[in-house]
Amino acid sequence: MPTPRTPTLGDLEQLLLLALLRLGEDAHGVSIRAELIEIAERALSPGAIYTAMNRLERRGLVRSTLGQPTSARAGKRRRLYAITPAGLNAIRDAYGRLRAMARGVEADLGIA
Amino acid sequence: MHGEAREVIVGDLEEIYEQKLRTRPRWRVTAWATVDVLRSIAAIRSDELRRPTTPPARPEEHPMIQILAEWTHGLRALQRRPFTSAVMIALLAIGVGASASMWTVVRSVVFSPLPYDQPEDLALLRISIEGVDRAPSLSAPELVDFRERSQTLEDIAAMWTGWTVLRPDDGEERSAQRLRVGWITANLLPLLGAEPLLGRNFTEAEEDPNAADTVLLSHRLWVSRFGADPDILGRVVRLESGPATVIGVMPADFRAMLNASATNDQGADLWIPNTYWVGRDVHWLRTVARRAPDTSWEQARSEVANIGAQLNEEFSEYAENPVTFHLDPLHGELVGSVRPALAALSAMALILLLVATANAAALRLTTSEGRARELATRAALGASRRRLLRGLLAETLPLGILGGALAIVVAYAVRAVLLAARPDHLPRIDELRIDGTTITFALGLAILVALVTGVGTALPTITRSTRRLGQRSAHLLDGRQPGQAVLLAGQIAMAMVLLVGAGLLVRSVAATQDVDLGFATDGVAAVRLNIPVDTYDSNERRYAFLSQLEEELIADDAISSAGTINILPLSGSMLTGQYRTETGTAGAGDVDYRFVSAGTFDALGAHLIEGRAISSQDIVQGRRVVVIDDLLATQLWPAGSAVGRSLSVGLGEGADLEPHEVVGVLRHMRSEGIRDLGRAQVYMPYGGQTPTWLAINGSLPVGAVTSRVRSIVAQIDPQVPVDDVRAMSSFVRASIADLEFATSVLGGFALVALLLLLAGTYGVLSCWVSQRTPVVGLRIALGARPGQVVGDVLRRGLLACVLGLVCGLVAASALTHTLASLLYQTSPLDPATLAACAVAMLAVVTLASLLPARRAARVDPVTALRTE
Repeated sequence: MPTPRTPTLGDLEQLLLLALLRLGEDAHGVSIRAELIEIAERALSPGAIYTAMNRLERRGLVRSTLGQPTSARAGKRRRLYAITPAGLNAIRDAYGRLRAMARGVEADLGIA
Repeated sequence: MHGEAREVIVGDLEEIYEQKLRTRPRWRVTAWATVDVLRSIAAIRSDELRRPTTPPARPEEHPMIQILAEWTHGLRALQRRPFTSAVMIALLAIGVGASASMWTVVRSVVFSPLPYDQPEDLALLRISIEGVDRAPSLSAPELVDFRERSQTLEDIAAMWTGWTVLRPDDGEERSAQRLRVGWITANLLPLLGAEPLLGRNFTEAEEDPNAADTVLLSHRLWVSRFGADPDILGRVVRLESGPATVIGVMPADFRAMLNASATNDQGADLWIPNTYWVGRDVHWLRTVARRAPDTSWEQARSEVANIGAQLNEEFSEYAENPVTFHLDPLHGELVGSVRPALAALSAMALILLLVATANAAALRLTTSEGRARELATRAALGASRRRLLRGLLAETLPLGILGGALAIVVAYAVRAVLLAARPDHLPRIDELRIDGTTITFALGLAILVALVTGVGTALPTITRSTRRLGQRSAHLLDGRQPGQAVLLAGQIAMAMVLLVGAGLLVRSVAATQDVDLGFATDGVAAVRLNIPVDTYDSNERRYAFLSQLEEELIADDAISSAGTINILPLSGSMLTGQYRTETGTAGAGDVDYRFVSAGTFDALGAHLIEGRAISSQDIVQGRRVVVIDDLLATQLWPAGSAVGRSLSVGLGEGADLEPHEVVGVLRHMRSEGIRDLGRAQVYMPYGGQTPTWLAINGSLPVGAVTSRVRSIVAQIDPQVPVDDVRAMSSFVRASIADLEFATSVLGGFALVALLLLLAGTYGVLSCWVSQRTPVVGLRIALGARPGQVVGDVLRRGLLACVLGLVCGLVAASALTHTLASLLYQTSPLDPATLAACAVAMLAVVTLASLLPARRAARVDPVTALRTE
């Protein structure tokens, strides 16, 4: 029986949503970027991160707020991101689909 | 980018920057920062571009951005169809270019004022004598009378152009030069409002025949002959009439235009004051008058008539032939003669514009199918009718602007051609200017045409588009596009008019080649000699010079004969006289008098029918003999031979006629123009008359003959100037210059129209075939033969052609009578020409239809049906 479809996520979008889950409250442009570089070895420019998060927000998978001006950034504000329930569903489904597809071919993937 | 986004991203960048500075050297961090800034910008830009077009009502969208977006969309639409766009621009360039050129000509010839002070107050004073056609000149005493008596004309001046010789100074290495001279009254320049560039004008005192001779140089002569010598004033030059002092130089652009053909030639080389003030019955001065302030032309005209009546009463010279005086505004005189030609040219340009417009409209109609779908889609997405129209505008306006710009280039090219050709009956060619008005005209017309064809043909599509979206397939199967067929027929009709006109003219030109001129044109050249009257003051001396020249010329193997004649056929001069036979038959003014030497008939290739030619013995012994032409012979002595008869001849009015013996009969030579038979001719032994033309028959090219003549003359007497030798054929061509010019122009227009037609028919039929490909494929799959398909396409093209042909022939028949004055031995409704043009048109349309027809026949039914 066909289930209601969740939005498909691109490769980068999956990584971003996972980063949001990892970072929890602290997610903003710089921390997301650092997480991606450190764990997924993907280096993105701040502008690319901003636009990607913007796209996710337009699709309702992410919610964001403008933070308070901080002295660390010479008075400029940050944008703080958090995942929405829809986004959580989407990344769950994506991960589940990936795992389902990978079942049976662990040997090729080099997974025990 | 929104301000807030920038703030956040820049803040992120700075934060990372600071972090990195703690662990890495500054230069590396700066490098990274630069790269990341660029990457951020790129990410933002590509994200913006990837966003789908939003529905119309977006409050923060600035109207200017909207318009800009539409314009770029429009330009991109043009880019997507480069071939069609290029063709549209070319059509606009041709049609609008022709119109813009005509506009320039009409403006400079008709509308722009003459380059004189208050030219609207200038008029020509001229006369007509009963029994003689209007002569454009006054005599000197009449000029004086009018000056003294007229109140309405505040000043009257006069001019006559002739020739003189400028002799080299002693020791100068130049040859004598024959120059155009203008004899002018001292008040001509002030009357026109012209002033010398250097020096001064003539004074009234210098008009006295006893005053010392003075001369005004033209700018051209000052530069070419005197090297623009700044010390030219006061220099004495040697003219044919004697030494004269240079008192001034005229500006480069000065020309005294007192008759229509004078507006196109280069004008006089120098001016001298008129010193001939006698001879009431010698009418030779071109007279220009300036109207007094606050007088009307009616007042001036009636006063002129009154003064004329007074003169006729007072002076006995008018007793036999009363003279009527006329006053005609100068501008009207110069322009009036040319109005028919201008009207004809404008009509042709208009026809070409219409053909180009019809072509463009047809082209737009063929692409309207695809466009209809696009428009319907945009309408479904919420675009209002106004937005659709704006979008169309964005597509058609650039076409109009580009087409207009190219049209200006075309206008420049046409101007260059006209300046090079210098046709006689388009006066003031030098004043053709392409300025702001022309550019505005060209751009405006191009944009108008582009809008009419672009928006006009799409309007029905826009209004119907939303409904038609669902009827797409039905639309394709419906092959009826009456609009296109009508446009095609219209183009054919208009092109027929031009083609028929050109055909008639070509026939006339061909007819002129068959005329029996009475003299030969191959191998015959002629040169004008200007034997100075002061040094050669007797007939004997002149004849001695000429016979020596002739002898030395024929000594050359390549030259077979040479002879002298006072007026060369087709050279433009005229000399008539009287005659009387023994039985009393007489005539006056209706025979041409020619004076020839022994070698003349051979040199001209004339045909001696009976008797003998004039011999050198006749000349030396002064015998009273004549040779007459066959026209006169059959007229005077229809039965029997004219040889041996007596004919009394004499020149001028009231001259004594002396009996001469007719010794030969010559085939008639056409002298005034090759299209008219002309007057009969009487040939007499050369007696020193001027002008003097030398005719040379041989196998040398014209340039070689010139140098031969010049070197021989230089040996005999270097003071005699020698003009350029011209081939007889060039005289013949000059006499039909107007016919040739009209033929080239009309032929050119017709050719362009045919090319447009060819391209247009091909384009329309080609697109029609493409759109019908599924249907054709279906038919072929169902068993239709290729021949039937080809026939289908051809039939479509030929149907429009026949319709256009009929309309075109009717229109042409109505219009060709305007060419009647140019046609020679060809009727304006010449059936052979009409038939030939119709056949040619059919051939062109068939040719244009062939390729699309073959393409239709080759349609592969499988692929055709698949695309549907």
